[in-house]
Amino acid sequence: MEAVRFENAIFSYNDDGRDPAVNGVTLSIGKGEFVAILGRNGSGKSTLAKLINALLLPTEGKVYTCGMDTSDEKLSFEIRKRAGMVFQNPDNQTVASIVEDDVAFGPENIGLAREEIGRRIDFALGAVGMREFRHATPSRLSGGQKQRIAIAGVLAILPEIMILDESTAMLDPRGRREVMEVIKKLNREQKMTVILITHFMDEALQADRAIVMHRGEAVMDGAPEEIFARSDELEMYNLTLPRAAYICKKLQSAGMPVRNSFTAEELAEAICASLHRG
Amino acid sequence: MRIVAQGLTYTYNPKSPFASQALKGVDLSIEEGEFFGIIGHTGSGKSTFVQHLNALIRCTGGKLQVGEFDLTDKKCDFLRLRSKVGMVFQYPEYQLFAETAEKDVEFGLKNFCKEMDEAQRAQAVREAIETVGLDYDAIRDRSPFELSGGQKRRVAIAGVIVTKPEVLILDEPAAGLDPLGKKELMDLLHSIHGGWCKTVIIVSHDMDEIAENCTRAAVFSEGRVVLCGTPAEIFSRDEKLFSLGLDVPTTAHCALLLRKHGIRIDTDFTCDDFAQKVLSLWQAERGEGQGSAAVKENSAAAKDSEEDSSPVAVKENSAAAKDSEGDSSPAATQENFDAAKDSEGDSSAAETKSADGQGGDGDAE
Amino acid sequence: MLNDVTFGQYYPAKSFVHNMDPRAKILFVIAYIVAVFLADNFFGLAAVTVFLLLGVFFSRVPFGRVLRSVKMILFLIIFTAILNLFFYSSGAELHILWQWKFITISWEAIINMVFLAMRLFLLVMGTSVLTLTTTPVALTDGIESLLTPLKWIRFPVHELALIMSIALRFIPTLMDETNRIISAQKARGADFETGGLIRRAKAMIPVLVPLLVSAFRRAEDLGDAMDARCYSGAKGRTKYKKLTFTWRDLVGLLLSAALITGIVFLNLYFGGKFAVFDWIAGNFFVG
Repeated sequence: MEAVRFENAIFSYNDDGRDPAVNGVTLSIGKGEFVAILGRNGSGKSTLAKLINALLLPTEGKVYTCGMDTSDEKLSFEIRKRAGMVFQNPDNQTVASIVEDDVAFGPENIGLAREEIGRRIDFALGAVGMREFRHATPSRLSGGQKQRIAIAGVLAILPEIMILDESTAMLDPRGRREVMEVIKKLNREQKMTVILITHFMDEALQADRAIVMHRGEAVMDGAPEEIFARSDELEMYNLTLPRAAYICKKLQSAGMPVRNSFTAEELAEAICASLHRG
Repeated sequence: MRIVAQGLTYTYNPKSPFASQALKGVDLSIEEGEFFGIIGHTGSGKSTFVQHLNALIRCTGGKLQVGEFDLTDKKCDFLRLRSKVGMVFQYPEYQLFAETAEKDVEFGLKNFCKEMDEAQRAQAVREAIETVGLDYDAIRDRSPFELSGGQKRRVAIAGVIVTKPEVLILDEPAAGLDPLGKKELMDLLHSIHGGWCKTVIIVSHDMDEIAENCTRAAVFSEGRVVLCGTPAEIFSRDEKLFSLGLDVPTTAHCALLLRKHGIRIDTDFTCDDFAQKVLSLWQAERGEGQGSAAVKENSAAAKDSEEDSSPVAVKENSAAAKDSEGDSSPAATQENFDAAKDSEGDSSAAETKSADGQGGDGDAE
Repeated sequence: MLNDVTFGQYYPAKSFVHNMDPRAKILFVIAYIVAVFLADNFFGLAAVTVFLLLGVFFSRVPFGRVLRSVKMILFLIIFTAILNLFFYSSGAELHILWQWKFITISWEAIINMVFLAMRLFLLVMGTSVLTLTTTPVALTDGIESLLTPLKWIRFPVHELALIMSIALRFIPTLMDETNRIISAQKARGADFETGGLIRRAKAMIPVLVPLLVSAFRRAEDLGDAMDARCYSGAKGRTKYKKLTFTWRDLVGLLLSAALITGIVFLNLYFGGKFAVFDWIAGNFFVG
């Protein structure tokens, strides 16, 4: 089944349609996929994300989310119920001063009964490992914790798709790790479709698939390993390799027989294998 | 300007139920000419420390000397100090306020250098804007708010360096930038470092960034400096860093895993150096005539005593590698490399002793 | 330094008063304020004081903590008291104690001063028991609930409550931001501490502009985040937090009714505030 389909979608922030931020994107994302979207700042990746949950409507072309046409405004409520979104700044997406009230915001909006909201808060906070913070004040939490609360706030609506729009960009390494753990678990255990917009290459490696955006177009699409193996192309789009992949490439170009590796673990193994083979 | 902190303490909201001690006796000296890294979790005291350096937070306990300025002295000329010690906050683009980029950059100049005439100021602003890699004529009359994210950050940095501070402190300067933007920013810092800007201090979470850019770094934890030394010294203490919940650079992580397989790589933890050292190891192995025995011997030796210096072959090769490396690694590689070896024998060398700090405290009184 | 601490003065504790429904507490405080103004003599104020002491006792907030809230307006109390002492006049004849040029001190003035000061004191003490025992969030919920009947005249109760709660939520964030901007501009040589009023006001521009820009940016982000979480106004919306009225609240309401009745009774029985004066005069000066 298909979660999202872009059909030659174009979007411009200017009324006359010049300088489109998304310029003719056609792609489809399957249910249960974990997709990373890469690209420089201003490459159109955030705009692409906002087209999915009808925060923006395509100026031309079509975007279908869970089979629904996003340009039909009557459907936007249903679309947002199915495609939740976590934003970049952890401070700008909480509405309430108490964690549970904030997580309740979404369920309240879709008109659930009180008891059901209570259950959903419990489930959502459990899923992000923040149950003991139910009565805490978000402004006193760490960045990673705040983003987990934001994820819980989306989860409580029980969406099929979770979009993370550079949600790790403002976090420290510990916070980033926390958030990545949570979304990987959601993808694995709840079979949730995850669309992760990021410019951390190591995060993209944890996805099933990576899409590279450049000047509004989806220019590369494939398994992360496959994408990072095409390093010359990446360079053309002003992206850098993960450091381990960079070292690996350097070793290979000097003639050392090491197999392609992208993480520190893989690189260590590859070097080991290569050295011991002598 | 040399920076020396001795037994520096600081408490937020003292004498209230919300009192929290952010610094519990920091001893740290940063020499003129360093590209210094400050590492630590949120709440480790690193931000409080750097804000002491230009008296945004007044010194209340311990000693702090920045060049000729004694920051414990109430009569210290803080305005002059701030013109010498520039501070770029996290997401500095959020401090832009003027109608044009030019006026915004000029702000510090007007505050600090009141004797300058208009022409001199315009010249200084032009220099600053060009230093950060922007086109002065194209940008001077534009509103800072309509620039792109990357341009905004550059304008904000220009607004700090316009007075040519001798010490430049940057809190997470690359946060939120994409990888290329990060690299460009670091290149910018290196380009001004060594000129009028004698010392650069960056606060960073990104260990790769520290390893690749800094001459020395300090690790803050719970209001104290727990490790201080060259990146090579710091990142060779991987266990200690992990126990603090901190990361190590990709290279150090890889080196740790290799060590478990009995392969020792002595590196300054930059990617290029690391690759170079691995290559020399590989070449050495090949050179020793297809004999796998040599490798085994080496790895066995490494396993036996990690403190011992690494196999001779590696040492020689890495020395050769250094020569061939040229400009790709920091100039301090040689020293880093040697220092790393020294510190491995006596690992506590890199750890600062809190006893010294108390001594310093006593002197102050 | 601005920080969380200066904002709100909730004193966390588990007590009878803390556990009361915010609506009951708000109503009780309204009744209390009415009583303070209604009380026409010292017996009435004494009755109110007893209520206040009971409230403080059952809130388990240390008395000193409640007193601290008076400290902030102590100047105001003293100022009005002094004005009243020297410049009191009324149609009736005064029992003058001391006179110098146009300044007179009379028995009536002293009594009036004490009376006014007590009123202000009781007013502040009472309302701070409310804010000390109720979180700003609970207060907002209470106000929203109490305003619900206004929905009938199309008053946007839900929107108002949402605005209040978002404002509460963003106060600490914007305070942090203000501190950060002030520091950043100080690092660029800004001087907020010297110069006259106009100079100081001008010095705030480099702080206020970024703060405003940031507030707008945050508002935009928040709007997106609320949209993404299916917000579409009050229609079809449910509420998770439900305020529940318990026996405690009933006690509170009964007490406030009793207080008002009591005050009215005392007023009628003892007459105006100078009743005390008459009583003193009757006992010590006449006869």
